[in-house]
Amino acid sequence: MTSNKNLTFEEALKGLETAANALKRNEGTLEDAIKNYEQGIVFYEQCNHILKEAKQRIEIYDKETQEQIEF
Amino acid sequence: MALKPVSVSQVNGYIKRILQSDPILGNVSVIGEISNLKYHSSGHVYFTLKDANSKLNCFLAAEYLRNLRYELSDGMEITAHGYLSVYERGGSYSLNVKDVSLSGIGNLSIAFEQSKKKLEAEGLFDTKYKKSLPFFPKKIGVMTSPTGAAVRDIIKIIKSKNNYVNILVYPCLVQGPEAAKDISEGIKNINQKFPDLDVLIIGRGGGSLEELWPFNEEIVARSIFSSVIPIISAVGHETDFTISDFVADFRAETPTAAAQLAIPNTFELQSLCQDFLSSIKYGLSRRLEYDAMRVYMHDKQKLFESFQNRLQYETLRLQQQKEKLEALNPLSIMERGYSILTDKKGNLLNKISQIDLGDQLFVRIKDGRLHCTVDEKHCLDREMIINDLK
Repeated sequence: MTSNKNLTFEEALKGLETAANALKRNEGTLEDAIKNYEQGIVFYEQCNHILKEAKQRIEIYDKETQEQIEF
Repeated sequence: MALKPVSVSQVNGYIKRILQSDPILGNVSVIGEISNLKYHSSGHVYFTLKDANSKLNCFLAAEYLRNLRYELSDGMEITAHGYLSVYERGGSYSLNVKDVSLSGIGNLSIAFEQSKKKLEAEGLFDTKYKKSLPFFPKKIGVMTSPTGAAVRDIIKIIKSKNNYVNILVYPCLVQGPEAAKDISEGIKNINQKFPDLDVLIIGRGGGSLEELWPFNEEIVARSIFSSVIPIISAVGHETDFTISDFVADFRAETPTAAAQLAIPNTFELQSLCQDFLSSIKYGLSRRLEYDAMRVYMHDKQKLFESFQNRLQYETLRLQQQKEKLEALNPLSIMERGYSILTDKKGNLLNKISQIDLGDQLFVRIKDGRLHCTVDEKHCLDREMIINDLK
């Protein structure tokens, strides 16, 4: 499992959900379960990183100066 | 005193000069009902304006038609703005229309239906052109009046649900004759300058049909249709429908609803991630416990014990079978003193009738064989047999 920091939130969430569901179904070998666990944790960390790092900006476009300024 | 006779051309030329120099006719607004509306292949439009008593021929050049805010229709009452012009060769005059205004719900409704029909026929409302909204937008645009209630409501809703998405407010006019052009150019400008926008909300709060009209204008519809950025149209209240709503990728009933539609709730997403994390942790530990139990069940000692139990059981069964067999063994009967009588061929003899005096017989006892000759024989009845055995 390579950690891909360029995943979108949606992709990471999807990966997290897939890992969680696979572990819930409890199919496959123990190795599969461990792999799902490890991948799930990586996806979780990516989701968490995106949500926790949120720094919302609210700006208004100034047509005259063609700049964005704090709203 | 009459002037000397003049030519037809002179008369028409004279009339033309008179009319063109008249300050009123050079800039006049005429109210009337449209009839005989004809769109010429050249792009120009011809129609007649009439009232109860009179008719006036009108001409609308293609260059002015493009900027018209309303779709025209027969039966519609309009105010046509323009100037009187004379067609010298035909000896006729007409109103050269530069702009048209409409008022009244009836007339505006006709224009709305007319425009809807036209754009729908062109395929602008077709679902195959509708873009989908991203699940997790990073940046959304809000194009509306920067001072209206709509922009405040939208920002308030977004902030309460989502602390991630960036918001760009793009100010524009939302009512009046210049608004449609402003909105239309705004959409084009946003697509060029901010291609990173994931969604664009355009709209305004409630108002009269006249006030909402810019969102029914064709130039706005065409700009929405051409936008690469997905657009949510949110104009007025729940009951208001505009052309923008039909062309946009999504219609929201109100600006507030548009904000709800555009973004996910990041606080809920956070707890969803936590739930998935718990499932993952619980799932693995449950799996480990399950596998540990399976290993325990297959453990060497267990296996040996279960093998021993099985062995004991089988041994017991074997013993029982052996005893059963032994009970049936003729040797064990002979052990108790019984013997077997056969003829020379080895046939078992158990009836007196099978034996004659002088027959050679064989007797098999426990540990040997006798070769005998019959000297006497006696039949015994049932009672005698019992007595005999005693």
